[in-house]
Amino acid sequence: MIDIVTLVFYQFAVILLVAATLVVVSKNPVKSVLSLVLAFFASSVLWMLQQAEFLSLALIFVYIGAVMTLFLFVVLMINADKIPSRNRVWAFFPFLIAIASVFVYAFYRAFSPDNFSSLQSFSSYDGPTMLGSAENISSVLYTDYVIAFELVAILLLIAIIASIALSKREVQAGRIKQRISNQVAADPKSRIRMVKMEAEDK
Amino acid sequence: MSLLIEYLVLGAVLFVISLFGLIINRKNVIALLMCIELMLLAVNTNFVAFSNYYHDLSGQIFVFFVLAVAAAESAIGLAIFVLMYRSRATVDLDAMAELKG
Repeated sequence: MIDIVTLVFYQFAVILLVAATLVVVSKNPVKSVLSLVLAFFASSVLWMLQQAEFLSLALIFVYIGAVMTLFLFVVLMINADKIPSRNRVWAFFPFLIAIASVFVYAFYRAFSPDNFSSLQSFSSYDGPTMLGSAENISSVLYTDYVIAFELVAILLLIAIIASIALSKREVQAGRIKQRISNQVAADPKSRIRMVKMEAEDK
Repeated sequence: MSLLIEYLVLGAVLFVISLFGLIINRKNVIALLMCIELMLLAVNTNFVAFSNYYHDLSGQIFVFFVLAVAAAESAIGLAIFVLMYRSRATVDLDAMAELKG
């Protein structure tokens, strides 16, 4: 009898791997971005199984909600026919074999179960509150890691400024632009000329 | 049961898939950014699995910071991408060859 956690793990692991493969091999970038959304969703379920409650919700809100939407906007902005085609994918197949064999050997050495058996493992659901609930995360984040937290806030501010400064268009020559200093400095005497003249009959 | 070995294998397979994506999508900048996101996801999965295994929150705090930095990275990367598309009208990475590197 397989328990429910293992069952959910294998289902969403398969979904995650299929979605990741679709991200890599898909020719249409919109399909790639949507597959990436599916991969993030599946991995947020997997994180929830490992008691990372806050992080899995943050992955959905921040990543699927903001970053993937940004990706989708940028992908929809470009022409699909400007995407360069991949030729000779299978020429890279030996690279894949080499990379995969290196990783399999590393697993065999590092991930064998007897390396971890001396440590006590914890259940996936061993209590009323999860390990990574928002309360537990924040009680550590605002005390032990508060300097790193503030540095990340500054980093995000720098990222906002940098992305605005990078993508801001320069004013071109033929474009009509409002010049506020000229408007403020405008003098009524230079705009209207009063002319003294005699009254005239109709 | 904690499924640690299964999570580590899953993270490594995901990493290999996205590394292969980096190799075969070398021309397309936006596919490269998406493969980097997948790689970070694989690494974060390992962190989360070990955090539960040792019952220590430090791994999840690290994942939090990695998520924040990755969000900043993809925002700036997409801004550079938009700038490149505007000046070259292509997303081909081979078009950016001024430095002859």
